[in-house]
Amino acid sequence: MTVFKTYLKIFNQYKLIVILYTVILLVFAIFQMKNNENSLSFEAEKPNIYIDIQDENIGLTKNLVDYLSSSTNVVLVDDVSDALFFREVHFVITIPNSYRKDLLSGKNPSIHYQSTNDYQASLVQLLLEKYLRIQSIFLSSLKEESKTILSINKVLEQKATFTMNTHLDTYGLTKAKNYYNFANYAILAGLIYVVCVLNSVFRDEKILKRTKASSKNFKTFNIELFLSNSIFAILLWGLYVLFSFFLVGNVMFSIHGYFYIFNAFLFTMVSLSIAFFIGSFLKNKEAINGIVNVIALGSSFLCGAFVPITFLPKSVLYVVRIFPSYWFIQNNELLSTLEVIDSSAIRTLFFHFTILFFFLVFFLILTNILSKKNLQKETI
Amino acid sequence: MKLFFHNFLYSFKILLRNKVLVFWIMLFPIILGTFFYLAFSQIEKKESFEAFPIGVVVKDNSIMANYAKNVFQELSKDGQDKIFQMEYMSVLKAEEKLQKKEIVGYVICSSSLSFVIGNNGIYETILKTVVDQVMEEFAIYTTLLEKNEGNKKMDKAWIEKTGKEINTILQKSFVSLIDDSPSKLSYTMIEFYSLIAMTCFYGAMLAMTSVNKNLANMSFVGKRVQVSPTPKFHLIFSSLLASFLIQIISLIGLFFYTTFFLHIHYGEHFLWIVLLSLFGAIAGLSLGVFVASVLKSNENTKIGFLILITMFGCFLSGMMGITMKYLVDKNFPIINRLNPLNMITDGFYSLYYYGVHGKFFLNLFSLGCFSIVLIGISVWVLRRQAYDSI
Repeated sequence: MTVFKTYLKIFNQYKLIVILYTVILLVFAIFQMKNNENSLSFEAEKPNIYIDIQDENIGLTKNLVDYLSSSTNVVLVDDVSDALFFREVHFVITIPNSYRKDLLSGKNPSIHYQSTNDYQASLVQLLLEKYLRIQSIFLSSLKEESKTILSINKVLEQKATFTMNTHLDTYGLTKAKNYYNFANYAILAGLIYVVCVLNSVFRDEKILKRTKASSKNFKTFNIELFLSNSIFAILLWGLYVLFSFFLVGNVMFSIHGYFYIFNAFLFTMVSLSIAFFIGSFLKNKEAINGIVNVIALGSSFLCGAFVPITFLPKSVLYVVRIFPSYWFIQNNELLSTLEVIDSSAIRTLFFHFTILFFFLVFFLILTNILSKKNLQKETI
Repeated sequence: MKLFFHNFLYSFKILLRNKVLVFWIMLFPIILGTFFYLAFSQIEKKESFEAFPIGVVVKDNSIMANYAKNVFQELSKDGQDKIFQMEYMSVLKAEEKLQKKEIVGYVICSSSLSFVIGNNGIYETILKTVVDQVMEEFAIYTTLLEKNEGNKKMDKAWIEKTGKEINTILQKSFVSLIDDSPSKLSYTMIEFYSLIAMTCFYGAMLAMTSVNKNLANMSFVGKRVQVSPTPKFHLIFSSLLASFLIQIISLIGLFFYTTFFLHIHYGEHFLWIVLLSLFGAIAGLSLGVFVASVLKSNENTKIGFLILITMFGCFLSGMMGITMKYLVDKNFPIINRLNPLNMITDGFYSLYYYGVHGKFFLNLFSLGCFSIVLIGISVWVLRRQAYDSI
C-alpha cells in the first residue's frame, strides 16, 4: 500500500497536467471522428461538383444542369481552384456561352472540365458522358429541342432494381471503427505521457536509493506500481468508452460494440505495459514528449489509425505486425465488416486478442528483467 | 568583432550540445516526414480509378440479357475505358464471392436487369450507374424503334443495324469534353509544407534558449552576462545568429532528406522556395525572442508555450488533415491570415499550385510583418533593461 499511497500523492500533484493532456487528446479524438464522418457520408452519397453556366439556363442547357443536379451535389464555391485542390468539389464543368444555340444549329460545342481524377470524379465523368451520348442520339434523329428533352428524360427514368445484400449498419460500424482506431493514438500517447511523468518521480535518484535500500522486493514494488498505474489506465479507457456511447450511438449497444470495448480494454492494458516499460528506464523528463510523439504518432500513422488501412503500402503493413497497434486496429477493421459474429470471426478476433495478451506479458517480463539488471548494476 | 565571433561560436556549440533541442529541431521533423511518407505515399494512387471485380449472371437468352452481356464484356476489356474485372458465374457462386467480399456486386441479366451489392460505397454507386446506363441505352433502342418503325419487334439484326447508325451519329455530332484539370493536385503536399512550417517554428526554441542565456532573471550565466561590460546587443545578436544558422542547417537537412530520400517534389521555383523558408525561419526566430523577452516565466513554461503555439498553428494549417486548413481558410480566414505557420504552408501551396502569384507575395509580406512586429516588441522590452542591487 505504501507504493499506492505515494502514487496517489504524486497523481494529486500532477493532476492538472494529467487532466489537461487527457482532455486535449479526447478533443482531438472527437474532432477526428467528426472529420471522418463528413468524408464517410460524402463517399456514400453523391459526389460534389461545381457548374459554371456561361450559357442562358434554358432548354437543353437547363436539362443538362437539372440532370447533373439530380445525380450529383452541385455546390457553390468562391474559389474553384482551391475547392478542387482541397477536394470540396471533384469535378468542375464549364458550359460555354452559346452551347444550346450551337447544339441546335448542328455544331459540336465543347464542354471544358476539371477533375480530381479520383473515384468521385470518374463517376461524374461517366454520368456526363452518358447524358451527352443520349442527347446526341436524340437530337440528331428528332431535331426538335422539346422532343429531344422529353426523350432524354424518358430514357433517363430507366433504373435497374437492386438488392442490398446486407443488414449491416455500415454507417454506425464505420463510425465506431474510426473512433476506436483514433483511440489507438489517444490511449497510447496519454498512457505513455502520464505513466512516464508519474513514474519519473520514483526514478529520482534519492528516492530510488531509498527504494533499493528498503526490504521491499523489486517484483512486489513493480507489481504495486503497475496496479496503481492501471487505475489511471482503466479510468482513461472508461472515459473513451463512455464518449463512444455518445458519439457512435446504437452500435455500441450491440455485440459488435461490446467487442470494440473489450478490444480497447486489452489494448489499454498493453499500452500501459509499454508505458510502464519506458517509464522504468527513462530518467530525463524532457525526453518524455519526444518519446510519446515518436512511439504513439509512429505506430498510429503506420498501423492505420490516421489513414485508412487500405491506403497503406503492403510492405509497411507487413513490417508493422511487430506493433500491438496493428492487431488492435485489425480487430477494429474486422468488426466493422462482420455481418454476424460467427465462430470463424470469433476465432480470428481471439487470435488477435491472444497476440495482444502476449505483448502485455512480454513488456511486463521485460520491465522486470530491466529492473533486476538496474538493481544489480547500481547497487554498491 | 572578435568578441562577437567568440560568442557566436560558443552559442552555436552550446545549442548543438542540447540534445532535447537537437531532437525537436533536427530529428523530429525527419521522423515525422518519414511517417507522412509511409502513410500517404499510396493514398492518392489508390484513390485514382482502377477497375474493380464484379460478377455477371446470365439468366436467359433474351435480347436484353445478350445486350447487357456485351456491354459488360466491352467495359472489362483492357484499355482506357476498363471499369470492371468481370467474371461470369452462377447466382450461388456470386453470393459466395459477395459474402467473401471478392466482388463488389453481381448483375443478373435477363429480360430486365437487376443487381445485388454487399455494401454502400463509391464502387457500388459506379456499378449502379453502369447498370442504369445499360437499361437507358436499351430504352434508346426502344424509343427509336417506336418513333421510326412503329410496332416492329426488336431483334438482334435490328439492334446491330441501329447500333451502327448510332455510332455514325456519335462520330459526326458529339459534344466534346475537354480536360483542363490542373497537373498539380497532390494534396498530401500540404502535410510536407506544414512540416517545413513546423521546423521553422521549432527554431523558436533555439532563439528562446539563446536569449534566456543572456537574461539575468533566467540563469546564473545570464546574471554574469548582465554585469559584463560587453554591449548586450552584440551578445544577443550573435546568439541569435547562431540559432539562425542551426535552423538553416535543420531546414537544409529536411529538404535534402524529403527530396532525395522521400522523393517529394517541391516544384520548380527553387529560389522562391529558399526565400520563403528564410522568411519562415526568421519568423520562428522572432517568436522565440518574443516569448523569451516578454513572458516572465521559467524555461519549461516558455518551451511548453512555444510547442503549444506551434502545434496549434500546424493543426490549423493542415498538418493533421488538410480539410482543417481549407475549413479555416474558408470560414474563418482572419485566423489563418494571422497564423504564421499557415503563412508558410499557404506560401508553399501557392507556389506549387498557382506558381509565383500574388497570393505567394501576400504570405511573404505577412511573414515579414509578423517578424518585424515581434522583434520590435522584443527590442522595446529588452532595451535598457536594468536590475536594482538588492
